[in-house]
Amino acid sequence: MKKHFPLSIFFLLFFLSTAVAQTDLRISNPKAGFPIAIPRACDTGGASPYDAKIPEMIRKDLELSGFFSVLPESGYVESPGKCNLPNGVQFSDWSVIGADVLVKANVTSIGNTVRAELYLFDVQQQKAVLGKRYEADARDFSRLAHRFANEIIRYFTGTAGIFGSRIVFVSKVGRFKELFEMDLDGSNLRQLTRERGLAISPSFHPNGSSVIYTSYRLRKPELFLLPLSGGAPRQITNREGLEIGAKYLKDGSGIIASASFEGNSNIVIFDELGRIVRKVTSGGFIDVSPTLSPDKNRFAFVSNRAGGPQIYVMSLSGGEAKRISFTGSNYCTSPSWSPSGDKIAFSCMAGGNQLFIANSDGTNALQVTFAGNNEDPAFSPDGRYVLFSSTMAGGGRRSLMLLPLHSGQPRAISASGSEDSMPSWGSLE
Amino acid sequence: MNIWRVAVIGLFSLTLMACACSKKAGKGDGLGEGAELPTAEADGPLKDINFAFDSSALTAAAQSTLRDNAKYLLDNPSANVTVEGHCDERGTNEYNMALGERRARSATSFLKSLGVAGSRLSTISYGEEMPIDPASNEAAWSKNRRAHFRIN
Repeated sequence: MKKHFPLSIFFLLFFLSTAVAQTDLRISNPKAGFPIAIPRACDTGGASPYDAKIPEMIRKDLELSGFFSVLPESGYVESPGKCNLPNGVQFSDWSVIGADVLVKANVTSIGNTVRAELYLFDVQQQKAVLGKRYEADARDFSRLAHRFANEIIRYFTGTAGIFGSRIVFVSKVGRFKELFEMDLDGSNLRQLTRERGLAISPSFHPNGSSVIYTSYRLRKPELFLLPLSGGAPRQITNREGLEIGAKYLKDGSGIIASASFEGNSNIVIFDELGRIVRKVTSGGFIDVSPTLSPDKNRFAFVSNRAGGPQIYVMSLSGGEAKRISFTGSNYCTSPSWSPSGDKIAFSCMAGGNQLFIANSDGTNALQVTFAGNNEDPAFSPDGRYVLFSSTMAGGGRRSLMLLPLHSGQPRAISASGSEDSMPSWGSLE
Repeated sequence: MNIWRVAVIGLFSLTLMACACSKKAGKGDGLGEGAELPTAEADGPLKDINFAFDSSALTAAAQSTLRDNAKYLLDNPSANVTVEGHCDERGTNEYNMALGERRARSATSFLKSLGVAGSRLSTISYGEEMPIDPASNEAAWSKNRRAHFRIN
């Protein structure tokens, strides 16, 4: 069991032995954005900073998730006080403000340990439907909140949420671009590189411990591998021209990237030490930005072989490249292949750069953003979200936004406060 | 009616790996500082050339400028040059990296065709990362779509 849950948490799981009633919210109110209330933790005799922080973090996760309408704390009529969880909830205090669902918590912190008992209540049925006890190192309290938020999402949708996933992205520092890391909700932000140059196009190693990226640290664009635990980046390539847009093949044994050592940017497979294994595309065109299918047998990429850049799909073993972007735009770039394999997201110039999601054979291209400039889509590991860079928030500045595909309403992820782009989505810890 | 029939059924204890991965590396992350990027593009003896959107083709004006640049280089045989390819902010960074490289290579090939030794010329692309005008309008974009010639 330990190996499946690399997190310093104990938890206590409640299963209700009672059968699911016919008023089960999961069935009666799908997709509507369940109204949920998440008050400050109960008074357990001894205030803890986490009394506010943990509910706040769950609130933010559920707001971002696109499955809930989180009721603002200012409208709550119940004043937080002593509770006897899971008992003692005055459900009328919550039904009167329109909450269908309620999260309540007992939080205690002793020394460096935070302990939380978290309950999910169905307000209509007036009962607890989920309860867990977690214990975590105080530094990891956010993981505890994310873990319960993910369980709430599992309760309602059958699949756990993805909060607590780590994101590596590019942010502007002065005139330079550096790599940063954060949790999906924008917390735990930290700068990974201090190159005072250009560090761009990061992508996680499949084991999550490092990211491959393109760096100009040697005054030319080459691939480097940066360990996330600290330490110096390791140079992978050292060739004429540029190498950019690298992604790891299955199990990290190889790398697919765009490389121009023969004069034009073509798609090339390298081994993990940067030696050329195979040139996959050829010709005098620009071929860039490969993204692998989940079975890692095919890839989508950008090519200008027919004039302007468009998205093509090809087998890793070679063969014909088949165009899949048919949106009426003459400029489509930055593809991301969905984890389920059936969809490819990309960005096309259509009154600014707008995101589209099409079937992986190119059919049914659907526009999903409509304002600003939107680029660099990255599917979440569960395929329910697309993270992307956008000027939608205003100020002409690019920031990261999360699009829940079930709601279609993009949400801003607060990040560095600078110009953020090129997100890469790590797996959930 | 007491409806609080919640019963604790299962207790799982999951112990942790103390998650060394989450330890913050802090400021002394051992990366050192990378190479400084070239700074402001001061007016030198070699002039920039500009390109049309999504194009690395040399316009008549660009060819004329390149002839002047070639003449300077033939007159000053000790000058070695890095040809930098740049793009405007539209489109995406990776595609623009490749496009900037094509622009630099177009300029380099033309200089070579005019007799400048290839050994004196190197190329690099900065894509859309180093605009000379950060504004988001056609006037800025047309200035930013350029090849710049930096004497080493």
